[in-house]
Amino acid sequence: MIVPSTVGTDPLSGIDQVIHAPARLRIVTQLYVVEAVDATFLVNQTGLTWGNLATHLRKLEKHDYVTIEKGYRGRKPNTVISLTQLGREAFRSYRELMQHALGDGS
Amino acid sequence: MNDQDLRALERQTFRAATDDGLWDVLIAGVFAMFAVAPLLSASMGDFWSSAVFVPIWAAAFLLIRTIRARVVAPRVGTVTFGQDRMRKLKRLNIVLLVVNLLAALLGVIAALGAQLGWLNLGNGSLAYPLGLGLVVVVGFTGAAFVTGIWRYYIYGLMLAIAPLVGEWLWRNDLASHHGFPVVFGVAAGIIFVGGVVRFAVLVNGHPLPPHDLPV
Repeated sequence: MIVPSTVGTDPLSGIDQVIHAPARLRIVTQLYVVEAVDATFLVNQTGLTWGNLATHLRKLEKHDYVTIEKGYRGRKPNTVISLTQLGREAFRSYRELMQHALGDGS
Repeated sequence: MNDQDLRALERQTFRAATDDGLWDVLIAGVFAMFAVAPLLSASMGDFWSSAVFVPIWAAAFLLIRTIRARVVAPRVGTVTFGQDRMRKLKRLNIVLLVVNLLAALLGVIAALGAQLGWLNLGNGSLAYPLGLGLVVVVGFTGAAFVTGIWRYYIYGLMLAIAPLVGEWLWRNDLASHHGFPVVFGVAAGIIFVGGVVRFAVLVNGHPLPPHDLPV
């Protein structure tokens, strides 16, 4: 029988599952280093499909981590995405937790 | 992911958003003046042989802005950068402005000094090519450092060496006008082709997106 001896002390137990998913982590990391990007740039940078990106952004928006603004560039629709203050703090906490858990400052 | 990784990602993002090859085309246009102006100076005079390029550059700049808005942005996307990046770009602009003003000032002093007789650098002096090379190196090194576009280092080196090579060609009777038409013509041609290739690769690798985000 395996005894879960690390239960309660597991540094990853409090990890933010919204950010932890690889695709969302990629999106949030990309948004963290800039003020805002449009959806085309985010698709190009993350390598996600439009449908996938929309699904993950909806989830991030539901948790108030991103804002999505619909607008126009010329006559064509254009969506601008940025990280909210809450999203920035969540990403910072996530990084600190991961650094603590991995213990190598990465 | 540490701070260094995030800084690297920010630099990569900046390059992805801005390195479309069109700046190279504009740079090539600017240095093409050094190749063509000496050939025009006999018929147009020193001032007008250079001044005639200003409206051409302005037109090229407007054309590049239009291409960027209509061709590049819909394919690559757009980014609003943070304050750190904007501060860096502002600093680069100041450095470039100071370098150019300093070069212009030194040029005016040299021209006035030669005209009034209190400065004689001599027709074959290395002071001009060395001065021009230094200005070019400082400008391009600053641009390469801030933008992270490594080929600007190569452009800087190439354009800095160009006047010295030109001087050598001229002294050995291998080229006219201190070799400027040859060396700057070749350098501007290389930069132009580099820019066009970069632009073509970018457009080819980024087809127009079929639709906007379905959110």
